[in-house]
Amino acid sequence: MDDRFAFRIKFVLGFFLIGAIAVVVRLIDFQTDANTEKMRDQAKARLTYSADSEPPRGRILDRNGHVLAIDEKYFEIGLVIEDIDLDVPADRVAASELDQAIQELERLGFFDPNVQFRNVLAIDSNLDTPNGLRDYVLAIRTEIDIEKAADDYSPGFKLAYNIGNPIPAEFVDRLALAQKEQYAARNEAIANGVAPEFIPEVTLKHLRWTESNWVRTYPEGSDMAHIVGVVDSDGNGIYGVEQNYNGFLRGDTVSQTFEYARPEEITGELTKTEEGVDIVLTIDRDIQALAMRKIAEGVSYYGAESGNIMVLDPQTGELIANAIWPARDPLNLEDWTVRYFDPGVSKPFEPGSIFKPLTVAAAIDAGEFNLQSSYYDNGCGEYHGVQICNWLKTSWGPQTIDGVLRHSLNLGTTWLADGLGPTRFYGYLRAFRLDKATNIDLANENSGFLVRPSDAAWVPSQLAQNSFGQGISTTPIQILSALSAIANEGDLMQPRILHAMRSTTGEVVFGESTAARPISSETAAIVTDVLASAVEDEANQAQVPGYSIAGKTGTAQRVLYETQIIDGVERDIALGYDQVLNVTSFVGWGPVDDPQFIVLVKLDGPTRDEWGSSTAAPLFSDFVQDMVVLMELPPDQVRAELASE
Amino acid sequence: MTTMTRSRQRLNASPKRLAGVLREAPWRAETRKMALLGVLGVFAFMLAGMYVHAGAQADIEFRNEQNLLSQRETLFFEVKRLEADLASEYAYDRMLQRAYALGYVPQANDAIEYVIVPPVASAADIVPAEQPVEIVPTETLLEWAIRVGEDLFVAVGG
Repeated sequence: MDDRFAFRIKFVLGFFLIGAIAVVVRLIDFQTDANTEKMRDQAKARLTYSADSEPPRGRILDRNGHVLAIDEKYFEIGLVIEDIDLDVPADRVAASELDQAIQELERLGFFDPNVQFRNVLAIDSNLDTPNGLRDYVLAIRTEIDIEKAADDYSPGFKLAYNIGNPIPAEFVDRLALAQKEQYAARNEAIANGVAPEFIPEVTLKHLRWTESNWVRTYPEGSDMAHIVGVVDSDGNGIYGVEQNYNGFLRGDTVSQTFEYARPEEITGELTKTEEGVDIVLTIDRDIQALAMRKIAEGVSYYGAESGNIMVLDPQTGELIANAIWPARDPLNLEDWTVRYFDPGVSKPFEPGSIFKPLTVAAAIDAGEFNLQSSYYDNGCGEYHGVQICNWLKTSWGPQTIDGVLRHSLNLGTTWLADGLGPTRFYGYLRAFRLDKATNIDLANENSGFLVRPSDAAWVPSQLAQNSFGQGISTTPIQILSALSAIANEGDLMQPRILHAMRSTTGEVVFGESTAARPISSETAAIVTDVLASAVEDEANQAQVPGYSIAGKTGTAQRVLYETQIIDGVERDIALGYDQVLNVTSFVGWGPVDDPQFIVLVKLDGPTRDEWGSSTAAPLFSDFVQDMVVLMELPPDQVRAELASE
Repeated sequence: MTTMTRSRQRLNASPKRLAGVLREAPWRAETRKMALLGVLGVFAFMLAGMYVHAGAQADIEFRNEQNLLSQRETLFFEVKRLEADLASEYAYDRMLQRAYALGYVPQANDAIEYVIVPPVASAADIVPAEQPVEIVPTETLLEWAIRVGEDLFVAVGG
């Protein structure tokens, strides 16, 4: 009896021992096997899953904190075709179910009935990813051809029609509740033994929803689109601030690893996503909106093709407003392909007479001329074989520098440029940074076209033409920046649009910097005084009641271009001057004693009138009268009274 | 009577018989081993139970944590949505529409009257008048010492 019992015990223990040895041997085998690493990865993969987490982009704000761009989480709703068996008549319910769902969406205002939705087929083989994120492709429309969808369906793929994108979370919550209630009603009917024909259908069973990517929202719409830019489907910025500061705005995508429940290791580290940085611009939303409305009215009233109003703070280089017309629509994909998305920084034009203050400033600063220097104006003259004439070919007789600017005399600037000589004249243009882009922090900035004596294409007559802004091109921001040096006592401030960056860790405010000092403060004061008196006498339509303004009108011939693709790149080929339409402009700054703004108004091809003094100048006055109120800038007299107290 | 007879029988037993009587019964040894195994088994079950319980608790906490994280994420999305809604409400066009709806009429620039308001002293500029504390002695040091001594004497004597 004892022996038998002992034997049994030993027998059982023997089994355990053999099993334990087998386990140990197998464990050793696992450790020494060539595929150990692979097996370890497999084991880890079974216990964990990873999900890429895309943080929201940072916001874009104006200088007063108004939101110009922000991310919002939306959902997509899809109809999964794979669930539908078209051979089963009941499943054809899905088609009507879809219509019901869409009617509900339309009733709630999620679809714009005026928008023609596209009916695009969407095939995705990776709908059921472990993290539940489903990558539906765009396919929107109310009428889905479900038979065609079945034909297109191939095994191994799931087919989904996206019927709503983007859908707010609020609607998805309601849809989820409705679906749950349908299932509950059906289950209750079955439990109660209701006859099959009276069991309610779950009509929403084919609908699926998922979080979509962040959707960029632009509260100010087309007022800001060309400055702020847009974001493409991959979440990268296109144009403007979105492109230029994409790296800061986008933040870091974080791959998070989660571990399924295990007692000893509950979960992996949940790393917080690195949100994008908020960008605060120097733009004033209200002044920008005002400028957009004024340029729209101006383009319409003067029958122009397009126009710009650009406002810069000459003392800091901050871009306060940059209005264009026609405006860009951030929701219109066609607009994204526009070559000159923001003409203010990318589209060069021949500035014409608004260039003359630079020539005069150069002539005075070089010490070659002063206010008493004079010449005799014949109205027309020949310079290196080219006929140079004043506008309307008027002869003004003996003239000084004051007369050159007051009457906008082409022969006068020719006289000054000739006195300076090419080397000094073009040296000053370089000092005014007209030979390169301004380097403003906006994407796709271009530089104008400047031919200098060192270039083979240069001919001596260009000195005269360039002196009054012909045969040379600049972008609006280039000419505005150059002229701001005259307004700001000779200091040319680096134009910029970035005021500050904010993140969860703090704020960095960016200050102004001097880009160049092309002329002395004395020269700047002289030219400013002459331009201020010119506005009072000759360009009085630009006057702003109560405010001292210095400025210059411009009327330039418009260059016609043809866009050609050369070496795969779109290039503008000049065809010559437009014989009918001009580019009219006005640049002015004020208050003269303490300039707070410098404004460029430009109209491309106005048909109501051909002169800058009668188109751009009154538009400037109209705009600035409202702008000074928004800037809380009192009239000169009030400021003087305040200063005297 | 019966007890006495049995004792006698035991005393009369041979040593071999005695050894046989005193030897532990096999069933008792088996029972002890079984009991030991049983205790070990119960202990093992307790350990396993504790392990499973701890695992279940951890699992529940893991789920709770996941739920909280999910809630946090949902709230984050909600905050973002509200921020976007707020931005839309404060958009320039929207504000302008509301202003017009409330009867706003734009004024011409010449209707603006600037009024110069004399500078108001800020709180930082106001310096409180200094109130010198004047100390006027009412008794000499000797008088004070006498008074304190008297008080002490009265207190002790009383």
